Amino acid sequence: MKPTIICIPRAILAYGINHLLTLVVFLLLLSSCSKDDFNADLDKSTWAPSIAFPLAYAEIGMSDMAHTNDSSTTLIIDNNQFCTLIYHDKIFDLNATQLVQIPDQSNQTQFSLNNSEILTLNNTGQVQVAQSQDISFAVSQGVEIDSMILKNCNLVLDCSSGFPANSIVRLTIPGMKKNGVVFSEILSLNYSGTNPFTNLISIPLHNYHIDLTKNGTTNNTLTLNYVVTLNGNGAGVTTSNSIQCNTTFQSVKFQIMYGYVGQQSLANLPDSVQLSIFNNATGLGTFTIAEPKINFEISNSIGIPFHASISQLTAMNSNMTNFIAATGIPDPLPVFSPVISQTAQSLQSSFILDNNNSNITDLINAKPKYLIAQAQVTTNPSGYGSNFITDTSRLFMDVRVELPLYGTANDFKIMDTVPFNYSDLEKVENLTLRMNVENWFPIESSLQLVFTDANFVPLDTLFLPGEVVIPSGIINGSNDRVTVAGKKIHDHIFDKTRISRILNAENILIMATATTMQQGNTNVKIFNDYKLKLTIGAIAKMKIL
Amino acid sequence: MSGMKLLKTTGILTLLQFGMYIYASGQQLTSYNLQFLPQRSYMNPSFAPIGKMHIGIPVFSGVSNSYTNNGFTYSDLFRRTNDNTLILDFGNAINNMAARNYMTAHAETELVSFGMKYKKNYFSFNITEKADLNFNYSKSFMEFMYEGNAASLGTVQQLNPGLEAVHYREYGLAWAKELSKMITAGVRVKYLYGMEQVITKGKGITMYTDPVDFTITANTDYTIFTSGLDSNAFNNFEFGNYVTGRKNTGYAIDAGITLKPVQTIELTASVIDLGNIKWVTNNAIYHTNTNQENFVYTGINLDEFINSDSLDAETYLQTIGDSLYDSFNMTTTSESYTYKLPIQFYFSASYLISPRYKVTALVRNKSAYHTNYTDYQFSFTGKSKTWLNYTVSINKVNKTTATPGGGFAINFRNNQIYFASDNVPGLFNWKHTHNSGFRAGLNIMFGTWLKYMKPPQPKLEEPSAMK
Repeated sequence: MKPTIICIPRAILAYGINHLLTLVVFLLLLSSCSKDDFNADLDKSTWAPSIAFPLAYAEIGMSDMAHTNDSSTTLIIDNNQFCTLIYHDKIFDLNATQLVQIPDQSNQTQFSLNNSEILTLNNTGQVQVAQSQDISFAVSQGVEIDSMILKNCNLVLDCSSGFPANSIVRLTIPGMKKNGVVFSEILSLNYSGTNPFTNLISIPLHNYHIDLTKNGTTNNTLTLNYVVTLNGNGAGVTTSNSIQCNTTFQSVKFQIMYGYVGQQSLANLPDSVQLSIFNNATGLGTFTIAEPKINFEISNSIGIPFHASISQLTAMNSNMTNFIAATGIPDPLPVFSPVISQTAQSLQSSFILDNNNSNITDLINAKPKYLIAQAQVTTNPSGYGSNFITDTSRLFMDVRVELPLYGTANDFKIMDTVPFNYSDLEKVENLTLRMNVENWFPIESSLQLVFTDANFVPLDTLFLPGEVVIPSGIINGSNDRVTVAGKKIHDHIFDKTRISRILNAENILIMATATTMQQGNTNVKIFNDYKLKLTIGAIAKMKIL
Repeated sequence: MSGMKLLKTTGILTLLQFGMYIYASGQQLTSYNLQFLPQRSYMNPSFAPIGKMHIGIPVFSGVSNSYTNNGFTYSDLFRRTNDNTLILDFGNAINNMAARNYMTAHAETELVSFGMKYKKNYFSFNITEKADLNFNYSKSFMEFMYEGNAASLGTVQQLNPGLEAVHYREYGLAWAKELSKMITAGVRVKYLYGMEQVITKGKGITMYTDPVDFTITANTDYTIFTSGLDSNAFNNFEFGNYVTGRKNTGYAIDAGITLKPVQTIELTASVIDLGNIKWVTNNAIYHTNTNQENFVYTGINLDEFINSDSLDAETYLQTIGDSLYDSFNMTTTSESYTYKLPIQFYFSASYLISPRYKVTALVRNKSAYHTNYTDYQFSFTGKSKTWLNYTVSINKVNKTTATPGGGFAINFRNNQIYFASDNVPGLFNWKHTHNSGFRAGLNIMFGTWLKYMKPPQPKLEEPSAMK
């Protein structure tokens, strides 16, 4: 048998050779290239760019430090930008309802007919029966009311009739007028075949003037006049038939009351003024304010003479253990009361505790977290007199603790704890944390951040012990002004080991101390335009390969 | 070779060809000199091959790949350690870079080609799949990516990598005509079908990191035009629609001229890819512009972060993130756009030592969107009468070091095999070269061999004695 190749036409053979040659060329070219040439060991390759980025920034002024976002804290800035910190709160607040409370007042009366009146009813078809009653107002604390103008009150007349006849009850109160018109109202009791039957009316007494003196002879007394008119219908009326009427003054609120409230003694629960600047203060360092003040401001619109005093004013530290009692508080406190012609006016009075009349400096230098105060008042200390109270009358006392920020600090230490939980550092091989400080306050500060575990066991710290982290601004000249800012850049490097420690942290304990010029021996002033500028950035070496 | 094997081999080679798209620059300069080669008309349409007709074998008639990167070589990036472990060494690659670097890759496969001579004209037609990539990158950009911004604190970083890549199919109709003994001119008209494209435009990203507090100041003016690359292009992918169904079309023209002012001098010039493609299907245009206003990031405002009652921490950070994103004015649109092909110019001058040998100086300029570079070549070319055409060259491509190139075209009666490369050693030592690639293929040629012509024979008179 002949070889097959001999059978292949020459042209096809040439194609085959050409294809083969092409293939050989391609294979030669590709033989030097294999998958392994690109299969790099990525674990042993390195791509770890260092990314620099800003983390956070803050420009902290006095208002930020003093927590002025708290509604009881105010920062007063004078024309020279000098700062005074004000902590204020009410320590006493007395209003009308605490002095005079008028409960609901009720009166019950009954109407029946004797034989003669029954006979008259049967003969003429109508009979009238009149009756007058005094209602004695029961008022709290033995208050004697002469008169009052009502703000809110409802008079409810509720009658039940046992007569087999139609009747009308008219109630007239001569001592109760509105626009000069005596109060008089009618209640109809229409017989419908069954006994007893009832009806009631409720009359709002807004703006009624009530005279409770019974023509100047007494107090707390009001005369009610009833007239019952019966219209006979031939049905049998007996002496056992009667009409029962209940008259009630409900929800009595006055606009103004005249009378005598008696001698009442009132004391509030101890109240406090929180001095937030000392919220996190700790340790034995000192903090002094050269000219502190406590201003007591009293406002009274109640027409009653008062004897007011402060039974307790003490400074409590953050542990609520140590206290210092204030001295120099006047007793009685100056309280002015309005006379009739000053109705609805508030009369102001005040007094100030300062270095000259009290131990206030000692109080403040104790870095108190709270000032605890309790006040007491007695009405009509001299006995009987004419009093008046409006529904909006108040006697209150504000305490303003004024801390002009002129003083010293030496190793004044604050401490706080913030929760910490961060786990996004696993790809970070090395972290440089940069803190850039520019301080315009005349105060230097040491700072320490302690990373702790859940049990507050320290894991790592950020700064060296005692290191001045925030250098003080420098005061040049005689105007107490900082002219050169204290500046410092801190770089803290965290290697892999340190990062792993921090990843286990659950809390950061922040401790900071503040010391003014010359180790706290020279008073410095704090101005509102002083700022502590802080920027925090990081360079993170991130392992990508 | 059985049909199945042929199919398999063809398939493998086709896959290899497409695989090379990803790392393969323009035509091989060396093939410009091979007079026997029909495919050299792609660089100058005034060129016509010898012979009366050629037919390219689909796929095999023309496969061209080239890759240049003047920034670094394979061995700069992939390095073996002492324990023979292959590692990626970005630092070493960056150390070898110049301030500005260019990477180009080009791949093309001739799907259909044929041509024929008619009198003094040569007509040809081709369908060619082409991919072209130009990447312009700075050393500082790579350093920034590799080392991060910490290494460049206090300096303004201009990050503007320029990328231009396109994949399209060309349907070309060429006409070369010998106008006189001294002048041959040619033109190719091309219909273009686009498949994928990406190009970046704008000033890029300028970034400054403060050396003290690391505040980042940046501004952007950058647009990335893409077509056929967003997720829509791959959803419900249909091969038929991909190959012919897209609406990305364009036109281009090539023109060339060959002059022979004297018998020993040949001058050529051409312009290639003068045209554009309008991209319509599956476009995604990503744009960011800070409108001359610097974006400044200083970190979290601690006061807002801690004291804001209305925002929780997560919402606050989310708000900051949104705000940062907004400040870059990022937009994504899908309008159509027109892409101009990188235009190429070829100029050559040859001295014909003899009819068979010549020396040539060739210059090519390619003008892409982000860069413009010029390649140079000096070559010696020889040819036999009919069967062998060869050339050796020195090439300086894409600002890389000069490399020796070579090429040949061999005619076997009606078949032609050819190969050319601008860096022959680089094919085998590709790990250490900045420039690699080749053009090769098979053609069926007709009329290349001289006909045996029997010289005219004297007609002898019959001796009179014989009469």
